[in-house]
Amino acid sequence: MTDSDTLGILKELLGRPQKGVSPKVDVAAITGDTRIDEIGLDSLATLDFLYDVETRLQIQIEIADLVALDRVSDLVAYLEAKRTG
Amino acid sequence: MSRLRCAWYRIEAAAACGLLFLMARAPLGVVLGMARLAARAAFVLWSRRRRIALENIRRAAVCADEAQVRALALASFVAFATMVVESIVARGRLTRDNWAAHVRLRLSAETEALLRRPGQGLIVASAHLGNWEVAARAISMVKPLLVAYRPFNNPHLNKIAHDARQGEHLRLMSRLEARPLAFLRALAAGDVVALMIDQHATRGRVAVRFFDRPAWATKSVAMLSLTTRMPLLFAFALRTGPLRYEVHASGPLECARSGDREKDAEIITQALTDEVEKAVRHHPEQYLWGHRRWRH
Repeated sequence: MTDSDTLGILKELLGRPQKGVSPKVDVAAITGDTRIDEIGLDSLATLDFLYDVETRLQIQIEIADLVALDRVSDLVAYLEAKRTG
Repeated sequence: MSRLRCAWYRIEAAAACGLLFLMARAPLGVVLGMARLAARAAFVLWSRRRRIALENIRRAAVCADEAQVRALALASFVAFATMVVESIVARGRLTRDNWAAHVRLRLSAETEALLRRPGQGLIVASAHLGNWEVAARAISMVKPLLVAYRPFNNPHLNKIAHDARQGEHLRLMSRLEARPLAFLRALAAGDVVALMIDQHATRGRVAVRFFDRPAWATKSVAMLSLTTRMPLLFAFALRTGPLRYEVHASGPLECARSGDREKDAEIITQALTDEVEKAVRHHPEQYLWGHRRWRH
């Protein structure tokens, strides 16, 4: 799986309709340069998203690592390292 | 915003400022007496809220007869008024040096160790039982605390309340603020994140049973726990006398992941709701019954 595949998975998960939550995410506008804080998720939708990412990629995200990341490209690289490491 | 509403908001805010000033300076006995009077007046005059409280108590079936239902509803009004004024008074009187004389921590060895361990993030679920404002202030004396709150419609009142409730190590964050990673950053920094779980939730919710009746509850606490894997406690502060409290905490709760997000959130939220119910059954007079909890 490449970084581009991982970004695709993230976009797919972000674009999924959420039960009782309206994330208001413009998935098409998300690129590697997008800041994680500015994806458009509220705090609860962020938690749902992280749970789904962990389940889909079969990894465990460390919160201390996550909060140090700035942009989507950083997140993609982190997830790839977790998945392959 | 209309001019009339704007003017009303300013009057409300000015009245709140005046009350805060007076309550912080008047003798505690006087303030508590005024709170009891105000609560009795509200019980008579605020018919909608009284009806909700009475109906909730009947639904919960915690009283043997109608006289007890009424007495409990009145006690709940008095407890709420007392909670508000004591929270204001406590702001000026509870300090890092004297808080332990006012607040006793009744925690298990495991819970206390988690609370006192430097760098250990903690998620605390709480309920509108006893004095939740003092509970937050007391816990923040041990470990920095971030509390999520629901803001008032009146922006002036909101600023006053926000400033009055914050403390040296007690930060408040409006639920409407778009800072998606704020809770995660606080936990990663080893702080406590506290959220209330006992009110009707309109979104991001799961179905639970509370006093054996269907209700909606926020799944935020459960999701925070599932995502961060930080220990999850249920805690509340009971009032034991004037400016005297006992903080009780249970947990850490079991938070298993199955891969089914909604199901996992439901199981954890139900376990927390059961803890709320257990605490309310022991101390029903200190619970906020005047909230429309069952809207399933």
